[in-house]
Amino acid sequence: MMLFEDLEKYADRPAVYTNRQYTYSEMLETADSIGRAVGERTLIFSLCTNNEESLFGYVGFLRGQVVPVLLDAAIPSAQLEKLIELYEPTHIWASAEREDLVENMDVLFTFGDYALFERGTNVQHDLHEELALLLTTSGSTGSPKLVRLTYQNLSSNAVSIAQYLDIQGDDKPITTLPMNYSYGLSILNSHLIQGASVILTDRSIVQKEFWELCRTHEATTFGGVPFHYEMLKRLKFETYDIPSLKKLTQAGGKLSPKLARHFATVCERKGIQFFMMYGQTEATARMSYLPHEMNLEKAGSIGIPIPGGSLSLQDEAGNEIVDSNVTGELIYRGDNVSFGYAHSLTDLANGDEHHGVLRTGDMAYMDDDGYFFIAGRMKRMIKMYGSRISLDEVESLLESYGHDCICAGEDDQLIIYTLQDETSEIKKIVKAQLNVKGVNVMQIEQVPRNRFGKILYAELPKRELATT
Amino acid sequence: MTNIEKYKLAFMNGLELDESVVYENLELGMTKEWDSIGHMTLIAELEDAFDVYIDSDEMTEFTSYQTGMELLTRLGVDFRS
Repeated sequence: MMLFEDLEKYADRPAVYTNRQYTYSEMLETADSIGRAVGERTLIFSLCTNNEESLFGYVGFLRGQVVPVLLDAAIPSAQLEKLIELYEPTHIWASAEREDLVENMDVLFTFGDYALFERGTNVQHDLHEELALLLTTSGSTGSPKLVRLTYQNLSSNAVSIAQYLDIQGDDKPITTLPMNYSYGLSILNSHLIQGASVILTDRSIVQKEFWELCRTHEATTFGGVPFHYEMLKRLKFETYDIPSLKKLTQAGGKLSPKLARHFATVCERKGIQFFMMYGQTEATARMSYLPHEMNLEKAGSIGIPIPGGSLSLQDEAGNEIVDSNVTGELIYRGDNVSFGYAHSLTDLANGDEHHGVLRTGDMAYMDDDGYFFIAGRMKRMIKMYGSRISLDEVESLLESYGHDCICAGEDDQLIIYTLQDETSEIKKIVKAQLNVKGVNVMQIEQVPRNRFGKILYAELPKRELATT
Repeated sequence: MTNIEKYKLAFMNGLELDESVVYENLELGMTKEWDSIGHMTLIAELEDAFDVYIDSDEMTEFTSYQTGMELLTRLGVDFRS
């Protein structure tokens, strides 16, 4: 079963609200023309933002069995160039005004503000027949590591999400997350297969226009990473009166217990179902969710496996942990587990390396009632505004620019330490190459190490001394 | 420091901008650095710098360098001094 292959059945229902409304038939007509313009089953890049051009392109590529790499439209030229070299896409679907593309490539097809650029290479792509789509693992470091997702991955996760969230044709999600981000994409997938109508906007929740769109089109749902919920709290969401809102979802990192309780309470009072969920791009998107009626009773839990999936725990020796309240690595099994990673074009011919089993890298335990709780991470990873960042990758990126640094921190707080007087240079690189906010660069006297030379991350200073 | 200097400094710190930027043209959602994350940091910087509280409605109406000045003027900040 291929995602979107039978969307024709929703014919005249509204599929998308942007500046105008598009029915499913209208969407599919354009989507299929974009797919046909590429023609063969090849690898292409799609530079995404929340507009109809990006969405229709995505739908058309999947239906036409063209394999897209979904990237952020704001990707810096240097990063895009590096990815083009490694993956050699035949076409790029992007804003017609993108200068780095306009100069070098022919345009085959246009729709709205987007153009299908043809690179004019002779490269033959050897793509595995089940490969549907590639997503980046981290939005910002420009890492060429991509997750290989299959048609079955996409459709099984979308069906499962639609089931546990009880998504219906009269639902209307409004976009709050990029569609090249697995969580944002999963919201689109799970709603389109149910014939729902998507309100596409690039406005953010701190803008009045976002809330006006919510009211005008009577949005029923949106999703957010922890940072969105911090903003919603600051915006006093509890005072908002938007009766159409029925469901809010949260993923992309753990919500602080205080915020979790706050929104569980506020939503209950407003008659909104609030779902806290857990997942990874390696599992297409979702792996578990907390049934909303358990929000207070099981506060802090990632909940139970999604329909069709299962969770288990493994100790260091690789044995399954059967007792409750014992911590081990969280293992997920399900049809939504990706085939594996790709590091360059040649990896796209590879088959299934995971066989439906994903080692999440998260440490967790299960309580007596079968609810799972995350206890920590195995690798040096943090989440910045919902996107995973490997601290080691940031270190090697800076090293490639000649800066010897140590990275540490926690979710939404990345700190870069250096011994040299180079904090402003590092800040510039971070800004240009990393595309993340809220990074602290600190100069320190020496690196705290134990007698074996191992860095004692816990002893690094947390905040800059207030000298200014 | 004059209030207008304080105002610019809050933008510089909040949005991680350098001095070459034309501050008067800054707009939420249009200026690359001024996204929702930048917006929250900027609001915090402004509240600290001018010792004011920016409420929920004001926060969503503050969308440009200009509207921010109008907002702060309403909150009692005098940009002539």
